Amino acid sequence: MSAPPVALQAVTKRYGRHEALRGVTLNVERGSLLGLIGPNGAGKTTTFGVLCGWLRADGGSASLLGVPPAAMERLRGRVGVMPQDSHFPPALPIVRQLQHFARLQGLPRDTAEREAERVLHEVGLWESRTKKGSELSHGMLKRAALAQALLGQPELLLLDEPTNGLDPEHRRRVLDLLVSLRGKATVVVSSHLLGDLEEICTHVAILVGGVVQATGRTEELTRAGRRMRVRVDPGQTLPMETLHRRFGADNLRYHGGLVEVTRSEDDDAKDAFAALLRVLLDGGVDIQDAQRGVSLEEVFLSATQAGGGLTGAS
Amino acid sequence: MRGLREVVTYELETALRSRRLLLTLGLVLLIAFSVTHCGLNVVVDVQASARGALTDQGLPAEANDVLATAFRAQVITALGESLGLEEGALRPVITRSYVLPILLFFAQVFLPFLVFLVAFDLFSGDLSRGSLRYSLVRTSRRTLVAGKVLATSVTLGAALALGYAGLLVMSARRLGEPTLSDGPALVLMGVVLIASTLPWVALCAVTSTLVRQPLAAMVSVFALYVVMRVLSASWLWDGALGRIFPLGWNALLWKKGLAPVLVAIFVYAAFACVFVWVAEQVLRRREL
Repeated sequence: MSAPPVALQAVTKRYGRHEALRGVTLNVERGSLLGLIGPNGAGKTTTFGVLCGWLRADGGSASLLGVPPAAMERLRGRVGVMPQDSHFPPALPIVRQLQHFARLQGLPRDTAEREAERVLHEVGLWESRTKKGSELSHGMLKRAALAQALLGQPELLLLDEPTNGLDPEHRRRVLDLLVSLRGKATVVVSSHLLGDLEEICTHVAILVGGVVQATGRTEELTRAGRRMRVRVDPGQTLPMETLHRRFGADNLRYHGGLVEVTRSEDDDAKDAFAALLRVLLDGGVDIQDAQRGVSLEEVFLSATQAGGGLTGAS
Repeated sequence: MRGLREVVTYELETALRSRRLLLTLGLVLLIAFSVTHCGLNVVVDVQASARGALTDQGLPAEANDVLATAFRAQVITALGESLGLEEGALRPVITRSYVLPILLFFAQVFLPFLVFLVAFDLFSGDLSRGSLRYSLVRTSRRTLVAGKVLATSVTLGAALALGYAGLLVMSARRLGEPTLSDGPALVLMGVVLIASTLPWVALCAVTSTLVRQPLAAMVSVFALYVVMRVLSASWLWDGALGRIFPLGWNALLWKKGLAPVLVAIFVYAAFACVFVWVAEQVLRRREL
């Protein structure tokens, strides 16, 4: 059996008296797109640092594709890493920098040139290819950093805050790019932008205070809640009697065009959601939006407030 | 070491595009040329006035040569003493060119400073920018250190060769020496001069891996130089060469030919390798 792309086992890391990671255990499935989320200071960047061998763990073990971080160079070309706040050297144009990185990965000169061109197109920096590291804006630096991680189409990508600070157009482009990688590569992304992660990630791990509070498939985590929400035109009359009969009056709230229903524990999530929509449609209600379960943000807030209230889904 | 060639090529390209580096080298060469020019003028004036004084007193022309040799001996002995060499160490060069001991003086005293100016931030710049992370997911720390040291040595070597040749030509035109007969010795001297930068460059690699801020790295390496020179002058490679050639190894260069040169290069390279290893270990242990 091949080693998991990313494996952390009871990893601890201290900065002086501050305990940044307190026994982080995480296994990332091959081909998944895992979002590592957490508040500021949760330990996301430290986790990346330990995985890439930039920081030494005080305890536990970590590996990338079965290789310990200290021997990272053995994986050259197989892992792409985007650090959070690293700058490019100021002297050379970014296209030359990328060719250099590709050559360091062992690619022949002509392939390296093609790869540099490809990734610059991918992140929308081709027009700025002759700009030097010192001439790049924050957003451009972010995209250049992402571009270097994509060189050589690595099988594992570790991206620390890839969309942070990008304008909406480029944020969308990066998200689409990550979605296109699903199934082709294993991707670990850290971000504060939970909406982005909910949209693209197949898996999520919530890190709070240096501890993984919850981990699992995004769908399972967000749909695990019993709440269902349907937004309708506020002026419409709802088939309240049928709704009460199906879900019970205590489990139903309607305010300002938002219908909130909490299904009972023994009610199947899929059946209950279908039943709710059917009742509303049969009642001639114009549905604007419908959501089953809770958003990732709610899962996240629940985890951060509970400090361990959620349990792993897988 | 996989990727070494690529690291060296990249670092050379970066050096050629670095305005700071090119300015530093240009400025140092300009200063070296100016100082040499002034020095040569002084020597020529002294010689001319001595010749004039002898002629005025009706002394024969040979007296001038005797006097000139005596003056040369005084200058060279003074240089030898200032370098801490044993008495008589530079005697073999007394009847030869002025230029050789002057270059020797330049090499032993000023060359390390040139190295520091060029290589003080070999790693600290990358460490403060965080750009080292991009390279370290692709290549080993050893390759990176060795590549940077090699590339810097090549850049310095090229600049030194250029400066060295320029100084010799300047001296030959103004003073009439060195002559072509000094050629082999001068070539060997040049090779040793360039090789002598290797351990200093590697030492810069060590200090710049220890210190994240470039300015602090510069201060550290200068402080280290002062400590090495003042507190333990015969430490490290100078000491090693001094033990192998007790009479002042540099003075033997043009007397014994290739063997001392090869030994010197070996000693320099050995110390450079040790420092590269130390820099690699520091980089392996430090957090980025």
